[in-house]
Amino acid sequence: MDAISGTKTERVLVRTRVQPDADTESFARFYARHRPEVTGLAYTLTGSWSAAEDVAQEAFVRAYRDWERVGGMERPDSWVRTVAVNIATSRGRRLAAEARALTRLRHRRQADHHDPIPEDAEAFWHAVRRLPRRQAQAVALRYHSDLSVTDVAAAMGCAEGTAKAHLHAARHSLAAALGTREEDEQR
Amino acid sequence: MTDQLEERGRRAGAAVHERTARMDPDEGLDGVMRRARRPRGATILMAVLALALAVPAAGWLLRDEVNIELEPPVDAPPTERAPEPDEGEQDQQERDGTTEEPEPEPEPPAPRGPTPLGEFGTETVATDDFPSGGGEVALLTAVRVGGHEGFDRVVLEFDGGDVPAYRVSYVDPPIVEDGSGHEVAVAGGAFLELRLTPASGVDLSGEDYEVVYEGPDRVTGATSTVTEVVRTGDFEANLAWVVGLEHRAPFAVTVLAEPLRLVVDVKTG
Repeated sequence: MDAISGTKTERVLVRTRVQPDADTESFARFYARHRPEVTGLAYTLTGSWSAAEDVAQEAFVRAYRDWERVGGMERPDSWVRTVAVNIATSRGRRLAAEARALTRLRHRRQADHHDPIPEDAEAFWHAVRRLPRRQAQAVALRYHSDLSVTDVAAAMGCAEGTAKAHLHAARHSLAAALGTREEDEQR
Repeated sequence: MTDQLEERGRRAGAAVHERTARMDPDEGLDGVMRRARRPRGATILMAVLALALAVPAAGWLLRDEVNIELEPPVDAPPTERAPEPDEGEQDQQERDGTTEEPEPEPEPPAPRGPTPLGEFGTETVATDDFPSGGGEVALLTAVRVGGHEGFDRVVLEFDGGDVPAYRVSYVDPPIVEDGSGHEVAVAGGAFLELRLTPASGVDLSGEDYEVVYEGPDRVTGATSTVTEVVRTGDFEANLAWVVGLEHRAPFAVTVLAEPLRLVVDVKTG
């Protein structure tokens, strides 16, 4: 079947091609280099390590399916981060990822990085997860992945000014949310 | 306040890095590659599939271990026509149909290509809950159309969301766009409307909208009866695409899961 006009089809067809070994190696290097960070990024937005691993896996699966194109990009890491934050903040997909992760946990031991993170940090990310999704994405990319505002905008596929606005709004909400919380604790 | 927040954000980021630094960076690589290459393992897939279907209880385990999507569309709402008994296999066929180039077979037709799904008919197919469907909005990611031996196939693929309520029916021209009421030109002599709710090519769940369907409004393929598939509405979670046909022909409707797809096969020849 010829299917389908447009780039989506081309991507589908690419998936079925045998990947040359050089590609496999370059992907393996890319994976090892970025998996921890992408998983951490997904954690900041999902609040669950097993869901985060699932999100990261899904993002890397997509990268590998399309590796001929993604691997040739100037910043393939930026591409995979974009995919990961989109999956992590898309409710339907996140739920599916959590369900798969739950199933898998039945026969997998807990890795030691599944230990809870310090309360102060967890409170911060908890507040981030309650932000509107674009704001949450911007904050995670900025504070977890330590990207410049320019790179945050690139990863979010928006203008730098838009990313700045998201970050500004997010800081405002976070300051209020976390500030209130601290006051509550002092009482 | 802002400086404190910056500082706190950085500390929170560092706390996560401190955990991920303990990860084995290579772990899961094989699984990722296997999943990415999945469509090619058809033979093994079918064997595992047969086993999983024979032992339903092992389905989740196999699916998980082997990372193969076997899930039949269990959440699909009832249609007026009974679904085929073996949806998992059809799922695979549909998958093949979307990933392989056509193989011109001039001599006796080889029984290799995809076979049509569902039962053919010309009367309207709709879910019981149409048009009041609820749940999470199904997000349209792709529209595909292709020709096969004896039928043309139209696939609407979704990402996330619940199975929407839908109706597939022949409609009379003029074809008009939802909302604006403007007439939309669709090539052909008969028009099959695919209407789904709640479904959209745009994700409005966030603070600002995100276009999830980035494909064209008008999709064509190497088909014999289908002329083109045209978007006629994406408005308030009502999604409508119209399939132009050379002439009125029997069609069959199927819902497949993982990813969620509405598959409409149109009889040709």
